[in-house]
Amino acid sequence: MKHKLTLYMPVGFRSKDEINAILFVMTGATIGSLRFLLDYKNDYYRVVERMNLTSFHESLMMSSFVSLYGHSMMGFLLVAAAMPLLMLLHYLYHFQGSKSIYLMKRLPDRLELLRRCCLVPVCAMAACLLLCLLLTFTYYAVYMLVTPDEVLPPDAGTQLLLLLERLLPFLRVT
Amino acid sequence: MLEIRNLEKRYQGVRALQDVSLTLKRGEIIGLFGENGAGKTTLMKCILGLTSVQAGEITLDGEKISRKNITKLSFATCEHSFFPSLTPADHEVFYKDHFLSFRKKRFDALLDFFELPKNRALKTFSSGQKNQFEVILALCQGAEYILMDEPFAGNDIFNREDFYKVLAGILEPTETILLSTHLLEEIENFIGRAILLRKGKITGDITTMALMEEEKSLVDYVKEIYQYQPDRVSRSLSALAGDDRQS
Repeated sequence: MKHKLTLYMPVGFRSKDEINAILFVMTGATIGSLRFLLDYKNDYYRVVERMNLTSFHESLMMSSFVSLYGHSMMGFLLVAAAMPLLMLLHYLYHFQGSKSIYLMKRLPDRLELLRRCCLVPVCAMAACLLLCLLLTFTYYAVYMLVTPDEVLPPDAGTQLLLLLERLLPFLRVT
Repeated sequence: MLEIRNLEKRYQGVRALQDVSLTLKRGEIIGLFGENGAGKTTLMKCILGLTSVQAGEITLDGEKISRKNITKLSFATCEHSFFPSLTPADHEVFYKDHFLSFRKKRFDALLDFFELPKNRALKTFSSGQKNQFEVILALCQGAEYILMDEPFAGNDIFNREDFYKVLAGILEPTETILLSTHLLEEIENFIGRAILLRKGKITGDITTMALMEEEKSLVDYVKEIYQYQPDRVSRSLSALAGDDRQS
């Protein structure tokens, strides 16, 4: 595993440390996204307690999914935004202590330098996007399945689409 | 055969190379000389494709230099092009992966000769050892044209002499060396041809055989081309002394 990984990192770079660091910040971003569940729980108990205390009132509604979602995925955005810097760091590594860039640029495989500088950061960006989408769908599922139907906002069914449109404007469907 | 035709290179408007044309035949050992900033390093980088050129053409055995034939060229530079955190053994693996004609036997023999440890990171090597290893890599890549840019800067005289002897002993008749250095006297007997660059232009190109026939040393030839004035220093010193007396 370690040997294979080193093929996609600058030669002699501390690949294990870097992968650990990426995993660490992605774990941090995942933990940060749990803020949604915390806000959801608070809102849920607020609504349920009021439902128990008073008779059902039409104005008693859960906050919308979009407002609860807020900036819960900001961590992933920051991690993804740092990846171009990591590519630059990988490139600049070839000027540290020597000019190994001369060797990299005259290798017969012209993609070798590109692969070693960009592949891991691009994969990390893709992982961020996937994890962000996966968590968004999971949180939406929790929101729709756990929230009592009586207190779901009327547009709850279209909230995910609205959010996705905001996050990924190029996927505009409406 | 490595052919360079009408090469022009400018750095931010400043001409680094002007109308450089050269032919390096297989098996030649060529010294490339010139003052600092003459364009020696730039010329090598142009050949290797490490820098773009404004005009001219470089061909290797009749073909433009591309990824297809780049392995025919190797490069040793005083800036070093190895990976400092790797060991020589790691470099062997990397080179074998990328250069199919890597010369393992030569690599091991040269490491042994220079008593370089195979399993110690290069960053722990002395600067002389680093130079040695850089040259070893260039010699063992399996290239037909080996470019060396002041590879012995920082090595002591014994070390350099050893290297010239080793080079002379191990090179095959088809291997070509273009060696840029300031150490004229040292390599005079090792090279077969001398090329002089001055302010980006080729100002001299002569075989050592022709020099011998003219009963000139390489240093004399270079001084002649550079129109070196031997009394320049004494004149300057006299002028300075005169200034002191007047003040």
